[in-house]
Amino acid sequence: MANDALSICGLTKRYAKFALGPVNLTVPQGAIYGLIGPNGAGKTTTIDMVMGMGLKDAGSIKIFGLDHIGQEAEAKMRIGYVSPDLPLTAWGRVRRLINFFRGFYPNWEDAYCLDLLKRLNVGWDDKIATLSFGARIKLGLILALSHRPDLLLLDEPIVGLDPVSKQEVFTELLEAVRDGKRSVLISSHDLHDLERFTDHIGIIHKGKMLLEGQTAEMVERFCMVDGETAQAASFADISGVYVQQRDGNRWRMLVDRSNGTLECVKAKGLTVLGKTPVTLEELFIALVKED
Amino acid sequence: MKRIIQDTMHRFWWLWPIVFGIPLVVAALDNGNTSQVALLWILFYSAFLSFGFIIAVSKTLLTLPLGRKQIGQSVWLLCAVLPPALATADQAILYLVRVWNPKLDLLPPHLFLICLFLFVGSMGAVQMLCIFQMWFFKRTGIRRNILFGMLHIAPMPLAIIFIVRFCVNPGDDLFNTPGLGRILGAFGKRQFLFDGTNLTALIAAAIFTFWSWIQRHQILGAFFALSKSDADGFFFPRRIRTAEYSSRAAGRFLLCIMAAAASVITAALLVLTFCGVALGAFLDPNTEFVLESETLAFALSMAVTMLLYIVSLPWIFSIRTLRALPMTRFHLAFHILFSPIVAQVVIMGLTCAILPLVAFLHLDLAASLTLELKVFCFVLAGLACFTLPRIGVVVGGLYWSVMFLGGAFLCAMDFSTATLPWIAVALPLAIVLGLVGIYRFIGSNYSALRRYQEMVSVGGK
Repeated sequence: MANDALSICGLTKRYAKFALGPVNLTVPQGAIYGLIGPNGAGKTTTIDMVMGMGLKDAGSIKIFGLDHIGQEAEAKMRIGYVSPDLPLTAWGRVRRLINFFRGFYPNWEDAYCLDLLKRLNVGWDDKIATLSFGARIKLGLILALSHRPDLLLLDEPIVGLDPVSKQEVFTELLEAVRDGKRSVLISSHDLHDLERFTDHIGIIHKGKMLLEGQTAEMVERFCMVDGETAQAASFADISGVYVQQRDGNRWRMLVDRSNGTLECVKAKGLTVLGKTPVTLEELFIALVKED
Repeated sequence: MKRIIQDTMHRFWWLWPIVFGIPLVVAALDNGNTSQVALLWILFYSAFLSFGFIIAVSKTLLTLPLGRKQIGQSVWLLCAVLPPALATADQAILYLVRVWNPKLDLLPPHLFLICLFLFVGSMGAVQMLCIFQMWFFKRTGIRRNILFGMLHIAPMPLAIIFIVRFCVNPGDDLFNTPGLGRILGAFGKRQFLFDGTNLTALIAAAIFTFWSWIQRHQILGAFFALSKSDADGFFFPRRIRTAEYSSRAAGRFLLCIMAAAASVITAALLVLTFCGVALGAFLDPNTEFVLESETLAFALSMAVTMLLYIVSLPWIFSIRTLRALPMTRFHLAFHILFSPIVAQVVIMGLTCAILPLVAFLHLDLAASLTLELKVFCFVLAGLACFTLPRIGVVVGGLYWSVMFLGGAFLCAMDFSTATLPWIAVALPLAIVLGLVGIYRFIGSNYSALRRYQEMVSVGGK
């Protein structure tokens, strides 16, 4: 939909040892979307596909309704991309890199860029090769933010950052999206930070999207159930049940409450001993572990 | 596109005067016999820019609001069109110099044609493979892909020309004895004429073909199928093996095989040539050889250069890993410093071993080595280390420095037979580059060792 900042439908990409998808993902306008998954889940591959770094095997990717390949330049004009893997050292110094980048964006804001440089403590004349890892991420963020993009694609931007730098990065990101019109897709496996920062979550594992939706709704939707059965039973085949632990007749399982699964479980003979809400981290671990 | 080209030209500002100026200066001062210059310039200049593009900036460029067609066109212009265009211009100006001063030796016409051909070939072909989308190849089919690919791999027709000459009309240039079998049995004729220019062009064809093969894959890998795994794998074999390359781009894959075959064939011809000489001399000591020995020196230098690149690459990409391993300082130093050098020295030693062999076979090699080729090879090859990443300098720095200074030394030793312009231009350059290379080499290794030392001390022994 043109109203969505990013819409991925049936994205598939196969490598010799890894297959992504089919992935369906929607980032609504104004949303902060966290794409979470363990290492090698397909987060970076998904973002790479969006940026045209590789050809998809199937599916469609739309950025504000624009085809990501057919209308590549127009689409990228509205994107700010940050990745720790982005090679920037070839430009030598920060000023040369910024001067190069600014030429491509008509709405580049010099004052904002200088302000960001100052706030994030990156020198205008610094040599890029000598910047620390965190400073390079910040430089990438400055380049991405300075043209006021409508969609920010952040590929693990906080990995390897110290808490202070992480805080600075998040502060700038929140500042950038404060008006509620800009969207963010951020991939990470740092759930603690993402839980506070994002309002939408997609959990990806082994190239498959396990779950997607609003963070609060998803956390609300699932609960951890402890129970026991009088006789041998199996719950693994019930859709929406993710068995976490079994000790004889005692069970611990993650249950999707949205479609009457809990009642189904009870009907199969489980006596519920306790029911606790889950955090995003617990939900993520439970889903990935079960998978 | 304009910005990318401007930016690249700006980033490689130091290359332009070298690329364009030195051959002209030398030609103007010397007797104009600098025909090989243009070919070498193209090769190294293309290599510089390709390294700069593919390794350093391709991913970043893909994040900018540009179509890949624009990026591809920029790469094509900078890496494929400009170098031969410059070389052609250089050659054309040399012709003008010749007109201005008729006493100068006339440049071999076909070298000018090679430059022109490379230029025209790159104009028409590389962009096909650089900028067109995958559907283009799907639609046009394999046969047309091969055609475009052959156009793209500009040196390939060159190689074919030489192969055809060699097999069909062998008495023309390459040898004065006909047929492939005559290489091994040529001693019966008792005379070999190695036309240096032709042999040089043959080697150049092999190198160009090989280089194009690599370059092409890098460009395609970067702009059409740049995936995480592809991007991580610098070398081409892994990419070739992937299903993506074999199924989606069968035509292009076939092209690569053809290019590889051309490389192998030309290289094999070269080897056979030398073997023929050696065998002929062994079987009949009275055989008369007429060898332009500077060609041999040139060939050896180029062969070593290419081999060094190949040998150095794994090291370049593994040193960072090595630094992270719990090794003693000695082992680290050995790995960083000595192993690649040892490997290089072994290769160099093997290559140089041919020289006494040739000398033993009554070839008056040493006396007829021309100074400019010696220095030129040293200087040009040495420039490579300045374009490689910092770690590349670590690997190659010392070796190239030795080469520089060795070249300078040879210049000095050869002063009596040398021409003054070469001494004036090449000797100071060789010395300066050699010293800079040593400085950078020592600096890089010193800092690497210091980092290791800090790592050990911080981590606790």
